[in-house]
Amino acid sequence: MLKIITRMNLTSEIKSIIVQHFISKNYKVVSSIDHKGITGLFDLFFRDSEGLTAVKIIEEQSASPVKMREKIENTVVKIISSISNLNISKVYLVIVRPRFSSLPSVRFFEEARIGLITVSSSGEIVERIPAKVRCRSVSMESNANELMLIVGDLRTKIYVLEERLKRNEELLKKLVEKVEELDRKILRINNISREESIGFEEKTTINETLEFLEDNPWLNVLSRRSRE
Amino acid sequence: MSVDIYRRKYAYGEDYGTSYFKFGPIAEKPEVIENRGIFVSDDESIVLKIFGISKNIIVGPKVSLYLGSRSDIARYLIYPMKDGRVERANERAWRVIYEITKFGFEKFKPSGKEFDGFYVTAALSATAPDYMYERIFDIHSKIDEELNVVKAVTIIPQPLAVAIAQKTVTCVVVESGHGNTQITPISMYPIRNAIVTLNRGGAEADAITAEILRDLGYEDRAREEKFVRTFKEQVGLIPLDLDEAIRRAKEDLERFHVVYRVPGTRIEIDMGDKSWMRFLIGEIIFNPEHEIFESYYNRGMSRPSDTVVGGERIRGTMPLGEAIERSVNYTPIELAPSLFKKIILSGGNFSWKVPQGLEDVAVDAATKVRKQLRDMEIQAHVELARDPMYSVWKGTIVYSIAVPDDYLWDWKRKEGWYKRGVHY
Repeated sequence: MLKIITRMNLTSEIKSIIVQHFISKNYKVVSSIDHKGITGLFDLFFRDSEGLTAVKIIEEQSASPVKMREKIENTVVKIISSISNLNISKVYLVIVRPRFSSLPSVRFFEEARIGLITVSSSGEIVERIPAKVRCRSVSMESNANELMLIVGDLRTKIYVLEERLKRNEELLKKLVEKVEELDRKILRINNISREESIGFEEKTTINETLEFLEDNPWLNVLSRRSRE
Repeated sequence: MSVDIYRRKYAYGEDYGTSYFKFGPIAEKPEVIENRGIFVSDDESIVLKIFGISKNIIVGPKVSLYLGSRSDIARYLIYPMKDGRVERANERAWRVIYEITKFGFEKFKPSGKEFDGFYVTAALSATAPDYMYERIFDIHSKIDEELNVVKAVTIIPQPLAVAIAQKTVTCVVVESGHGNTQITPISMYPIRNAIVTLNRGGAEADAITAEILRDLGYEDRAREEKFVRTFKEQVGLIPLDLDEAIRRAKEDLERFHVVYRVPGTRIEIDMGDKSWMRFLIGEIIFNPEHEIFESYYNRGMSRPSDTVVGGERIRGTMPLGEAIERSVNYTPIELAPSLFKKIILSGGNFSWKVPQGLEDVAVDAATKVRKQLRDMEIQAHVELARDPMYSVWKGTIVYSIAVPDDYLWDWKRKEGWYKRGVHY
């Protein structure tokens, strides 16, 4: 059954589509969960022969692809860190109206053992990546930790690069201003030196052509000694 | 005649080097005599008077005429300066300084009526103590009493004179002489509390050269100071990278092989397969901390001793690039980039050239220092002083011409004219 999803009835329509999808795959709806932490984290729960399946719905909004990807990554990391000790066998992330440029890689989901389902604006639901059954074991926890570290590390690197770029742009701007200021100063000094050397030559009648005296800035610097 | 015109005409410069005294009025270049004197007798001798010799101390070119006159020459031939310093209480040394100073004025005193004394700028080592300033002023005032040749005198540090001759107002001057190497940052004035002195110089290069001659089997030549110095100057090379230079020299013996022949004689030293040792002679000036020198220090060759700057110990073996960086660090931080833009190397220890065909491993001193600084991630412009023999003297002449007559000597600033009629 296709139906155009409007903004007003987004969440309930989506939920309905998702419920239908899971029922068609022989899941049973779980209407209430005792554990308070996970009820806040997920939107829907189902059960099959393998155990409890939790579903989190993310609606694609008008944020940039980078920001959207960050949001999805953060959600996955949060899910992984929250459910490590809980009896949840599978987790699905449902992205509504996805832009594929904002999705993390397939490997990301596979390593997180989280399934990916997309729902288009026309209500078409597709399971893109199946969820893997989670084992509550030490290795699963360490996988989660490792993934967190990888994501965190990548995020840090991107941040550092962005900051560096910003600083370089500022530095370049300062350098350009400094060069322009130096140009102006050199022009001023040349003008002053020309005036003063004319004055200095007027004081003397001796035509010295000694190389170490010609164009020597120290003549000017030292002549000012008593005036400083 | 205005004062400025008078100073321009009668500017006079003096460079008190450890080995040579350079002096004279404004000209293309100075006169040069050895900084030494010989006491021909302990007292006034009637024999000397008969021969018209009224002094008991001789300086200048005539010294060599008297060298055979005493069997105990070492006692009477006085070299007054060591590493730019005269010992405070060494009256014989001060007597020589007096005589060489007077020698210059006697040679150049004009006869014209308008002449009322020179404006004299004398240059001393950057670390010359105050007593040396006092004695130099005293010497000049005494000579003026005798000859009426010193209207005013001032004293400047030699590195400042180099900077003046190089026409550079902001720079670091690195002066390397026989006994020490001084690093002086300058920004219109010498920045005195940033001066770093390393207790090493040509003497260290002489020492390693002597060891090399011993290794080559020339123990007798190793004991002759003059031979060692000449050999050092002729065969020494500065390596860009010592380890790489030695490796290449050992791989390609023919390219680096050298036979040193003493001019005018049949004496020759063939370095053979030890020609790679040429690089040790240059390297020891720039980096005596290289591990290759440890075996020589263990053998008894003197390790350069440490100095203290502002309460901080400076290793005598500190690589030259590191010492330059340390000196600049003692200056205001905003000055550092300007100082690194102009580093001037002055002194005989920087004069080794690059022989044709060895450009891949041997460099000049400026390139070596530049590389040392680059290895410390410092981009610097390094150059050799244009006229290392006379640059100090030239700087003193510019100083005499330019400094106003009414700028009087101040002991705090250590600048200004010490004037007849005011100070003496």
